[in-house]
Amino acid sequence: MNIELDESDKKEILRYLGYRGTELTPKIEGDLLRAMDLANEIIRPGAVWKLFTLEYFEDGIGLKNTSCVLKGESIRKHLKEADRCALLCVTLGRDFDEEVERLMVKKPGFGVILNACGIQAVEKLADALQHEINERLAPQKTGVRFSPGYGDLPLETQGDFIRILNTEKTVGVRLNENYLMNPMKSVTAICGLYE
Amino acid sequence: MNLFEKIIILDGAMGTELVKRNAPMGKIPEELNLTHPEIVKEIHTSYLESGSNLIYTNTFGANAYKCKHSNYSVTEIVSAGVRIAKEAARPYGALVGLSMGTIGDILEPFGNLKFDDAYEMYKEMILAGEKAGADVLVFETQTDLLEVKAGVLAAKENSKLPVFVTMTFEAGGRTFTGTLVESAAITLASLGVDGVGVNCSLGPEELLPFVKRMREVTDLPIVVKPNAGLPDPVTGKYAMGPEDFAKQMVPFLELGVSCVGGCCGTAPEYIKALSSTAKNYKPVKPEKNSNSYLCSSRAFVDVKRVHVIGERINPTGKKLFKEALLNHDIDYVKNQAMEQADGGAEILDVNVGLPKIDEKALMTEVVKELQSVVSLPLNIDSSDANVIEAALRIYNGKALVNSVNGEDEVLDRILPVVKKYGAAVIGLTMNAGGIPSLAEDRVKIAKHIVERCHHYGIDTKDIYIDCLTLTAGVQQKEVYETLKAIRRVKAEFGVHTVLGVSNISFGLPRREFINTTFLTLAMEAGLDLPILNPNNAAMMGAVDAFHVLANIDRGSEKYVAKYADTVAEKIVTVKKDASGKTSEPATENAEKTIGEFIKKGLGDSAAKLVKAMLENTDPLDIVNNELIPALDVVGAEFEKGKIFLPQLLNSAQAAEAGFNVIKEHLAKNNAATISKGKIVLATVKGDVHDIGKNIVKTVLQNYGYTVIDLGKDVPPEKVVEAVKEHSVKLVGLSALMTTTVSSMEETIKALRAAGLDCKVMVGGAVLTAEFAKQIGADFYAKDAKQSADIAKEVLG
Repeated sequence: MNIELDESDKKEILRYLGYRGTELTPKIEGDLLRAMDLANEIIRPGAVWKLFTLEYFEDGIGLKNTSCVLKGESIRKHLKEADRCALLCVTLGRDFDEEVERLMVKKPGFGVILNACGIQAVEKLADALQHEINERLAPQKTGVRFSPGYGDLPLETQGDFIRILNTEKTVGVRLNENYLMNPMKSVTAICGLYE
Repeated sequence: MNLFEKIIILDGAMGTELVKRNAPMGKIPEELNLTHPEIVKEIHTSYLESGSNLIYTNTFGANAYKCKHSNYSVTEIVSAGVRIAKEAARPYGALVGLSMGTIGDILEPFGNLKFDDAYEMYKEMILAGEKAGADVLVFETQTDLLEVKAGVLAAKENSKLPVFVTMTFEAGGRTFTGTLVESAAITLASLGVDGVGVNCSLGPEELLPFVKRMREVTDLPIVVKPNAGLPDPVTGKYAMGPEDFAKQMVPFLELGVSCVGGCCGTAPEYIKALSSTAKNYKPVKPEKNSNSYLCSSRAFVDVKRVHVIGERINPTGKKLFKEALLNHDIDYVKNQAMEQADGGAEILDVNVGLPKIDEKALMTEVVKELQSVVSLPLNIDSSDANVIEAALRIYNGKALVNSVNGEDEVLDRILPVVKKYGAAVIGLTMNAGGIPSLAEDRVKIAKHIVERCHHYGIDTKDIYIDCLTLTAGVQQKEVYETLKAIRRVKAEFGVHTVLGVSNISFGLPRREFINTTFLTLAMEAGLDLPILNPNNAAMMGAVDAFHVLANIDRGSEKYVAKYADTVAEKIVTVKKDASGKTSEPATENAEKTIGEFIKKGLGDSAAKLVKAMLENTDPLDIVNNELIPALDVVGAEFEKGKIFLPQLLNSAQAAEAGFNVIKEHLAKNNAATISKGKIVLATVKGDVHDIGKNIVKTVLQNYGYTVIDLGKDVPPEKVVEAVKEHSVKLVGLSALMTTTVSSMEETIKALRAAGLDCKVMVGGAVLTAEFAKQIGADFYAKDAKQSADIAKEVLG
């Protein structure tokens, strides 16, 4: 699976950069295009997902056959009593982080643009994976992505997601003790499945 | 253990089998060694029944990081794991390998895990495993070459058992962390492991090209343990059946690998099929590999032509470089490295030796940081064996060491270190008596060096002799002695050669003419690794041209690709006038202002104009009347939303170009450097997101402040130390996550507790002015522009 950033992503990328609608100079326009090209070149996409049956308990929602229990009100509201869910993880890979790191030393003005491209690209990659899941599970469809740390779903849940998807082996995503993912441009999420 | 005698059949998956048996997984599956040993033993036995004669213990994740929430200790889990495997293996006369996967945390500089901590975690497993009776130490599913190096060193320094390392590669032949197949094999072989190979990730067919590439660069026995294809996300089933798997393993057997087995998705039936197929094959011992390799984890050099060693990371005679090292400005060093890489260097010399500096600490830090931005192999340049050892220990790859000479005292100190870490070494043909004039005497010294290297087990392929350049202006008749010596050491000892060339022209005008000519002569004499400034177009051009003329760059392909559609800068010879100045054309941009260039982010133009102004303006006036006001204008526009972040940074960088011209000018004239004050910046402990901090740094530097950047994941005590050491009055702390804001608070407390008279400003996505006050900060900076305003308020 792969994605490419294109014209349609420009608006979002600019938004991540705090752009407030003044006229864009030719230099910035050019940098934006170059950053998107560079991003497309260095992304080494990784994607993994698994299907689970959900079990609703008093104190949380369980992913069947795992020890993971999702706590809090937000996730309960979000899943809207779905019977099943897809757990997913996508990443742009280590190369992307390294290139941003290099550019922040060499050309920070360009580095922040590439970084913003990464934020957009990883979301786009997650969208593409959801699309793939939907095709596989039709007529059911995945709902909106929900990630650890959203609402009152504890950030610690990240540890369960990473373990259950075996992301270290499958896509090379590891977690540090503060539950930050590495590579940094990575997303984990749970989506309910609906008719 | 002779691994070329007969093929060893390894086992298949442990995890897949545990799941199949519905084993009650606790916090980690390795706890089953203590809670349900019978299940683990049953799996071992099923593999032994299928023909395995080396089984791996259920200890893959039994390290201190992954066991931290377990009710059992690492030693308990590992000992039990080995015990169960031994019991199962005994009736079959099979061997037991102690399985060690990755730690799970991320190594510096990308994560927080320290090399020494990774070492200790592996050591703990190894000690327990060997004591319990393991026969082989197995590092598997490894993705970070440096992490596995920590493991191999822990094995070598604490155990006598044989060591296998298998890594996990993705399509394209790199691991998730970027380690290249070749680099893995070269580095691990140089560290003295007994078997290298691949496991997990993909099916046999996909892994075959990687094993072939490994075979090209190493003569070690090879270990292969692929997956049964990929699992289906819905059913969890793997794609490939036992017969298919065994069939796909045939090419490995034909290649002559020593150990075969399966990883995820392979069950006893797979091993049974594989073992019956393997009966018809024997391992093949390859010819000795005598290629000379140097590598980082991402790139390798096979020394068969001329490769340039970049010389610029060296403070000798460079005032700005010295200042950068003293101010801990690692970015300056990184930039030098990246420029040289862009210029075409293939190896970088790294020298950070300065009086009154902790060379060991600085060398390890620079090596670590350089490896995150350039993929070139490094040449560790120091005369101190302790510094060399510290650098080689954390070096991710196979390095070159610069240098030893003909003195036994030096050879006996440094060569054992070179051997232990599998590095290559440069030997200078000089001794206590200095550099001999005659080629013959230099060859004698080279012979002694080569002999001592062999004595310490360093192979000829890892020896590089430097026949040394003398200055033509002083010792003209000895110039050709160097060339003669190069020819002879190559012919007589079969070694490679290295030479720093630019000293040849010392004291002569238009040094480039002399340098390029001498370089060309030396290459013709057999110079392999010239040490020079790769950003010098003429020198690099000479190397490229030599490759064409020596029929190395076949069809002039590389030469044409690099130089077609380029033109030479005009070389003009202009006599100086009486005052010693050359008459320079007036700058074309005379009518434009520095402010305009900065606003547009045009660094080159800003720098040119500053240079022109320096002819008749005081440097400090340029800073205060041109550069700073220009940045103020840009900052105000940023605040109003007229420009946004990338433009602010481009302007800051343009201003930096201007500042650099002034700094160089001051350094040349031995004047005190200008700084509006020192500021310590750090991303707090636990946080590895440092983009925000780097943005602030760029802006502050270009307002003329000296920024002491402590990097990311910085513990409070390090901030306190830096503030004390540099008597700093302003500290900037950055944190991105709510989870790390607490370490920000801790850091502020530590600064206050130390009674330091400094102000603290904080920033980061989750912070607010109110929150900043709560955790005891003096200022909240909502963006980089505000941080500059605060600096102005505190430092002026």
